[in-house]
Amino acid sequence: MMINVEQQDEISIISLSGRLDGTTMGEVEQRFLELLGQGMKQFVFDMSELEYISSAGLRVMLLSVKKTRAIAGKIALCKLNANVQEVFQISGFSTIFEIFPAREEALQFIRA
Amino acid sequence: MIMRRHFVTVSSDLLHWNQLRQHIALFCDEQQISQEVMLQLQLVCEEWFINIITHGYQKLSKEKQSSSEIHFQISYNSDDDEILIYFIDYAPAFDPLRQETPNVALSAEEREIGGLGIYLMKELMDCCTYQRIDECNHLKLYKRM
Repeated sequence: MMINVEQQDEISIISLSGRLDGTTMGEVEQRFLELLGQGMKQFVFDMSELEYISSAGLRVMLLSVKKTRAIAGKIALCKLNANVQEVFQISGFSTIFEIFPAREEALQFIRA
Repeated sequence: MIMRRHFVTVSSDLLHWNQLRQHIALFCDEQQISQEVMLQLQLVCEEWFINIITHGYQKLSKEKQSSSEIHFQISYNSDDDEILIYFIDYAPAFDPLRQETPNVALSAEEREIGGLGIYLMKELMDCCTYQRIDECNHLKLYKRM
């Protein structure tokens, strides 16, 4: 699992690559909580390199959206591959998150 | 009938999940099963594997554990064009087919994560059967290709 974070203005862009499963969820959770602890409130998860997500990975994503909304922040996802998209659809997570095909659209949603 | 099988027995430790998923990848590669289906099979197996550990073995005290192994088999029947995944474990009885279906229409604030793994497993497979035989959980998961 690779987690890359870049800042664009006030927005943290978190790029995930590899597998978000029971063995890697802790790393993502820790990184997200660090950003939150630094006062970040706006997040875009770029999932273009994310190959796989399981319910353990969904747990971290749910935590992220709950924590962000609790502080009146904003969160968006972009570039989900077909497999990840399917898991989001079955679990109903596609209606919980704002999901965009391109990173720029996700950034526009956050800025709006 | 052409039937190809892979067997593996792993101990119930989350670290062994990587070992199991590599077996699935290898099997799918040999059978020329698509990447898309391979990822679905890995997902289904991860959900059940973690379930066995968290709802099964972790709830047992060490003395009460006769075995903490998980037996896993994946096979492909070319006549029926069907994949069968078969898990056996020694944890307390747990029937995934009798678990409540989570409400996937709830908002983020109302959502709880529990039960999603089993739900994903049932949704991605075509048929699941559970039996408790001789103090073991037997779960069979079928997927038509």
